[in-house]
Amino acid sequence: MNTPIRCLIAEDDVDDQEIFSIAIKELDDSYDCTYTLNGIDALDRLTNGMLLPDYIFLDLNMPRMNGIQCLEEIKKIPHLSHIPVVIYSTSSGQSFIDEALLHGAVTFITKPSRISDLVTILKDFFANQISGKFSN
Amino acid sequence: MILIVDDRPENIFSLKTLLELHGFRIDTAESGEEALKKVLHHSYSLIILDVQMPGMDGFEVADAILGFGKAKDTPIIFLSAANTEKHFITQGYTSGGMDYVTKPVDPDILLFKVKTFYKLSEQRRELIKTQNSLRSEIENRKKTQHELDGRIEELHSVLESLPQIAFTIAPDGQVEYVNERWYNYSEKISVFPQTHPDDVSTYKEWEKHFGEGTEYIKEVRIKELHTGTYRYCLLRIIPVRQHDVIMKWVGTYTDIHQHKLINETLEQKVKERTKELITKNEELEMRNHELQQFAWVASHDLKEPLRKIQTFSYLLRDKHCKDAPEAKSYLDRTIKSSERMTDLINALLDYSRLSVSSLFQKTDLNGVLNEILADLEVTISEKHAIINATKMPVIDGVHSQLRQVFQNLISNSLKFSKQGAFPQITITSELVKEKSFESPLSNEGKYCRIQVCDNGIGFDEKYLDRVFTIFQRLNDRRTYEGTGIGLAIAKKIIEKHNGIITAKSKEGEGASFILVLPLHQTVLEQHYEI
Repeated sequence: MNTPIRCLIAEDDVDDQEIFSIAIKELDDSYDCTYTLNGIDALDRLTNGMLLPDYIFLDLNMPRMNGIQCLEEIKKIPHLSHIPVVIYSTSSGQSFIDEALLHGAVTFITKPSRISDLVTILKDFFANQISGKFSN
Repeated sequence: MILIVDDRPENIFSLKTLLELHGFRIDTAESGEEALKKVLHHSYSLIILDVQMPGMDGFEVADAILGFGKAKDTPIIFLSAANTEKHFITQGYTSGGMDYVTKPVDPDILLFKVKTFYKLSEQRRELIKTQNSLRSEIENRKKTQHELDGRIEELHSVLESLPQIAFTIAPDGQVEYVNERWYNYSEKISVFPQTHPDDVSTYKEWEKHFGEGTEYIKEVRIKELHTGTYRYCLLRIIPVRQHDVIMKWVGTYTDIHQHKLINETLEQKVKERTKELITKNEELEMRNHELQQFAWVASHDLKEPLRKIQTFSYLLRDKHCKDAPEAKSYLDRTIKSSERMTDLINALLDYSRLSVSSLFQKTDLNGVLNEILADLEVTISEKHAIINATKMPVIDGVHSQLRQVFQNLISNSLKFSKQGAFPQITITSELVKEKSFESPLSNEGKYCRIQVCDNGIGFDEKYLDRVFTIFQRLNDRRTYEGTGIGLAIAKKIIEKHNGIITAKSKEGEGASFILVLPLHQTVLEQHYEI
């Protein structure tokens, strides 16, 4: 059995955490997901050596440290900087998308209103990442 | 000419011959009466008069001549018998140019006397002539002086009638005349009104102009004696020339105090107003910025819970309502309402984003239209719509904004199509001369006029204003979907492109939206909304 894919999700809204988990379970039950309520928690987990995920999902709007700030911090840490980071948000503003990509996010996901849509988006995303890795 | 009067022709002859020999011109008369007649008409230098004559004797003739103004100064030589008449002569005629020669006449003596008298007479004539010319010269001068006096008097009365302080300065620099108003500011004619300490340079400057012979104009403050306050005056001193020589200087102080004060107040007011406006402007910009922030945050924050309502409603409907059609129907309505609300919020977001300025770039409207037609492909084929477009120009614009304009207009046309008819949309573009809906066509025109015409339900033109106003809907929501923001956004974008937009329609007969846009923008960045 393959090592399950590990994801860290920083999301201050528990409903959104639940929606994300429903979607990812629907996509593939084997994904190992860790949830934190904000960027600082996420950074703590990442830096104390307990967690080394394959993907990081950061909500844009979070208290204390928002997604972009958290992304910047992650990219400063050498052993984390290679991990693909996704910024996801309710908003679809081009300025946020540009900012996220500028700071090194692999993509920007706008939260859809249907879980089935989120499933499709995540499926496409992971497929892209894997094929990208192979092609490298 | 000499007149010889004698009743004896032989005497006349001998005298005439003698005198003519010495170059005198001679006239003759043989009686006193004839002599008087001649004197009346001629002017003689000398008269030689025989005393003994029949009729009027010599004395009577002389009397008559003396009484006659024209000849009264003519010298007379009497020819008389020596002892008998000498007495009369010395008594009667001591004054004037009188003499006598006794008969028989000694030609040498007579000639001597004639010469002397003639000379005297000529000198006298000269003298009189000189006197006359002197007299007329004096008259002339008197007349000139009189005229001059008249003119000066006229000048003074003019200066007196002026509402200004007026004065004249002689060529030597002394004040020679001042009008009554002068004394409101100075007690003496020789002292100029006192100027404000800040205007002390006035006198020096005037001296310079006086030396150069040029006009002097200066704004000065002078002290009014009875109030003790300084008033703003315009001092003007101009040279008056005659034949290029300065005859005098005429000066005035014009009171401009009131104007000056009004001006100062005005300037002050303008300053205050400008400051106020700047503050207001800054305030407005801040408010506007806050408003944008508010719109952005509000719509963003509104979207989150709304999305959740939708997400969980979908979840509930898809996973738990298989056997509960009633619950499913309620959820469908919930989802539909929340979707509508999402549309509204998105439109609001778009509208608020327009307030941010962006850069104009070369934008090919053909490309813009093709993108939109591709986006709307599904709707177009569903509705069996026919869309025709002529060639569009390339203009300076913001691609995404222009795309939104045409997207809104075309979606509108598709949305408000007539029941049972296939929508037909025609998009035309033409170059026009000026920024007006009725502008004539021009190949070199700097504007393009674009029309989007449809065969839809149209609207009554009396609602034209409302069509472009945010959240104004003309149709009920049940029949026609829409947020009521689309045309407001289109209008705002066109205005930010320095263009104009209007619509023409009749209810039930389709609508035409007309835009006029400049091909080139002079400023490459859109203005910040205020």
